Amino acid sequence: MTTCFTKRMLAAICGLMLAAAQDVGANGLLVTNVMVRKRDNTTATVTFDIAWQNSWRFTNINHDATWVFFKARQEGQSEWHRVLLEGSGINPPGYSNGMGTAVDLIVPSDRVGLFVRRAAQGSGTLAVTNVQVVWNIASANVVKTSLIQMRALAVEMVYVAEGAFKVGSGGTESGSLTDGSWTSGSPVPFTVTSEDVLTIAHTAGCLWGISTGNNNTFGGAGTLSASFPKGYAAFYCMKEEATQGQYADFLNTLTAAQLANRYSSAAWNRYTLSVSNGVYSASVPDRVCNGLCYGDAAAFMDWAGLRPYTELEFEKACRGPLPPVADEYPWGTTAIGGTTGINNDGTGRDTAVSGNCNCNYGSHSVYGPYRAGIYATASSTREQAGASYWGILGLSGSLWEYALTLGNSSGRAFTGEHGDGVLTADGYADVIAWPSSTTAVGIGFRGGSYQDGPLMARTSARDYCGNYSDPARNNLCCCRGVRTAPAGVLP
Amino acid sequence: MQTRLIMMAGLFLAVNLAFGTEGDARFYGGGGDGCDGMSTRARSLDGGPQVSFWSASAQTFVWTDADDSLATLSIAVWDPQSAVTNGGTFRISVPSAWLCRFGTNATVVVGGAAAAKIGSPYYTADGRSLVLPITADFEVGDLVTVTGLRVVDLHLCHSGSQWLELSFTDVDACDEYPLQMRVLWYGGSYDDWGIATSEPLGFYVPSGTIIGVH
Repeated sequence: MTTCFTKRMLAAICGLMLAAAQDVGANGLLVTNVMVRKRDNTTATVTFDIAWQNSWRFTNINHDATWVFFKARQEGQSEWHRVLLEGSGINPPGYSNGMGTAVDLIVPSDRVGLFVRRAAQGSGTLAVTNVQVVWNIASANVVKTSLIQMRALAVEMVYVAEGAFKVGSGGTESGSLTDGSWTSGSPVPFTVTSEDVLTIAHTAGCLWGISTGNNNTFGGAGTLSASFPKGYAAFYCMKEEATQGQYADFLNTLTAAQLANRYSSAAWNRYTLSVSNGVYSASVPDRVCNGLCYGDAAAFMDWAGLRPYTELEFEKACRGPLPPVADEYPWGTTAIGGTTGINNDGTGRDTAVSGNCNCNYGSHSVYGPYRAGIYATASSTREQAGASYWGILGLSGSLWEYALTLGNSSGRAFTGEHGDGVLTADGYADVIAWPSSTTAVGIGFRGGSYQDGPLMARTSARDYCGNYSDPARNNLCCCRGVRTAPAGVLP
Repeated sequence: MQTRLIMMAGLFLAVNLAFGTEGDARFYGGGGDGCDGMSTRARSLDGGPQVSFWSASAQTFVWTDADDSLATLSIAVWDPQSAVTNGGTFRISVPSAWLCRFGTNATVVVGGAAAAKIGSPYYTADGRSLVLPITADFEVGDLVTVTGLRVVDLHLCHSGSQWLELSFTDVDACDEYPLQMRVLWYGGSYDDWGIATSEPLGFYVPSGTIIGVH
């Protein structure tokens, strides 16, 4: 027993040293040493090491976490299968928190993956070895007696805490949301106070919008059902927009029929994805991925067990519980600085040129997406990092993000289903309740892009989030997914 | 009046010593009230009873702190004009632009030469204000101090500078020293994505005791 314990201690220490040595001063999320072992006739254990820097947990605010999900492949076959875990809740039976930073393992009820977060208040590097989770073998459609290859995929997420918040800043944003008491002039911020049925009406105390036509329309009167995610309940949001490396990893788990609809070889600005001998790769993997149509983004989110966010959740993700500042950006002020150049471009350590820049907007000289999270540094303030209240990066500028619109009935009909990890045979999201991937009706755009001016980068701007849909790929759109926080998970 | 001028001069000197003398926007401003030392919120000290209100120093908080202590506060009455009288109150409030509150479990101590003119302090407005009941008329030069205040819910504050507020008989004053809120979000290089793949393993190996039958 003593020898075994000593070996585990040494392994843990070596793992921590390795994690630190590989990537000093970077977020550098690392998942390593994935192993799968039989547990019993119906389950197997999967162990792995995980580390990332700049993690945090402030129990009075929020925490970051990593969403880890798995794909399994039978030796000799090309198809990767969805993996469902066994058990649910915080630290379910049979799971092990490993050695190193104390972490919680949080498995949602649909068991598509798990969140790894700090178990206690703290910040800095999180590094843990020998994390063990339990896999329900039957879920993966593999033959147990064959050799099995397991792939662990992890993405940083940020917890957005439950609570009331306001939509609409009271400023001059296009198509802003407002309280129904508004008649003209500046919108009146509306407070979202629960996930209960929400009445949409031009009446005081109801949710309304200042535009009822064109691309930024709010549509007419109606209701949002209790299952429409309104942002009051806690959810996890991807810390950054999906990168080109992430999207390549996604493509490498698809079948040929699925790839036919999910890969684009077009020469989008600063797009580096390519395929060689059937393997997809990005020469600049840390750069945000453009050229994604809604069908691509929906497929990515379904495959990853995430879902699109709603307009209301977008404003909550930006503003948090703070009182609105008229015409504010997601970092809570009205100051915005463009980027005039990039040092070390494409290396993974890219940094922005210009002391006060915090947003990729307005057709600056480096025309296209940048490294995800480029403005956050070892000492950045919220404004300098371009961070939201919760620490989410890049919500404005960079690339347009897909959001469920309140501007038409298709968007309002959304009921918050998560992706199940499985796509259709031809590579589309198979979640029936999501807007159609072929028409994209119900999906709008939030946050502006590198091509658009600063007004569209404002938190409450809805220039293209009304009754506007565009199902085609283009230079300016990307993907960011969310997941409703499992019940009982607090900051 | 002579006493007032001497105290004003002393305060002005103290502010200069604390913050330097040039190149600092906090020193910009006009005259008129004799105690402009930095760019603070607009305040009305002319025309009515004149009261100064200041913290012992400027203070910086980090928004992730669960709570923090506040420096000693001082309230000096320069010209009460029979308005700071028995039955009135001083009300010290957190900045109206922030949603933080005073920690209502903290024990507050009132000191200074005029401490005897203040009754038992109490919190109000969900902890956003501390009320100091006035139990005797204030005279020129009366001074009270308040120590022990704590501030909580810092995470509900925007970044930047704000000032504690003092109100009495409909006249407001603001702290001469700012509260600075630092909202930090760190980051590094590389993206937020990780992937690893196991070696192909035959994990479903029969286990248990092997019994040979002869």
